[in-house]
Amino acid sequence: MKQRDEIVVLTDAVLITCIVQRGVADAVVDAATEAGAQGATIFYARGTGVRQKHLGVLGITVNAEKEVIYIVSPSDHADHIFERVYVAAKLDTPGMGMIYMASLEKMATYVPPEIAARFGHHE
Amino acid sequence: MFLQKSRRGSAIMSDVVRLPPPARGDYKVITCVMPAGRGAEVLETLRREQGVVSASVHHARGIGTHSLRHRVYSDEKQILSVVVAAEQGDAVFELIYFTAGIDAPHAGMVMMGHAFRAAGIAAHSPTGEHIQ
Repeated sequence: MKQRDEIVVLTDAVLITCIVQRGVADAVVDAATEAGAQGATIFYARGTGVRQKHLGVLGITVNAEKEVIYIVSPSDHADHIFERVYVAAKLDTPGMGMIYMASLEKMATYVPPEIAARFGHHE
Repeated sequence: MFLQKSRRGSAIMSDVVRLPPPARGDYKVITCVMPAGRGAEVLETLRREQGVVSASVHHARGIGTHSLRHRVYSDEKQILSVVVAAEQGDAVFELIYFTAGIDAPHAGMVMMGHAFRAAGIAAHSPTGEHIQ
């Protein structure tokens, strides 16, 4: 029986955060899952930046409503997902959004017992 | 907490102690993706058991790829973000893990990152020191 105070902690995880215009998140999530991500979390936000300062009249083509996507992945897979998302979200275009990845010290989620056992964790 | 009682017995804003921004230190950023509806309970538990007075919860949509019935599934989630002093990090991490019920399939995850400067994470003491 699993103890209540027992946590299987995963290390070497990376959090990829991608901020895009509203409506683009589905394309980002599709690209990420195709690249091997197991899931994503999406929420809405409002952005400000080059749209107001440098794009001038072109600024009206940029939606200030944003979607923020969290993707957690193993560190050895994160660069691949990062690049695929970068291309899918067209982030080389000004005003399209941004993406960054930061290492996580640790993360925890539900790990099925048979998988935990495979890595030497005993019930 | 940072409001002191005036002589008349009512709290007034002029008693707020003004402080310079804190120096660099060692902090942990803990983010938790949990099923929608548990946020308020987790916030209350954090305040009661760890004294965490400043945290943020918002809604989100979770998308997963591993489900028994569906190839892709979507779920309503809440995201909790909190910054705590480094030495408090592991305790808060564990508390969130169990209070938010992350130890169940498809519930979500809790993750911990690092920050080196933070303010507004604890109530100011009346003597003007930063409480961590």
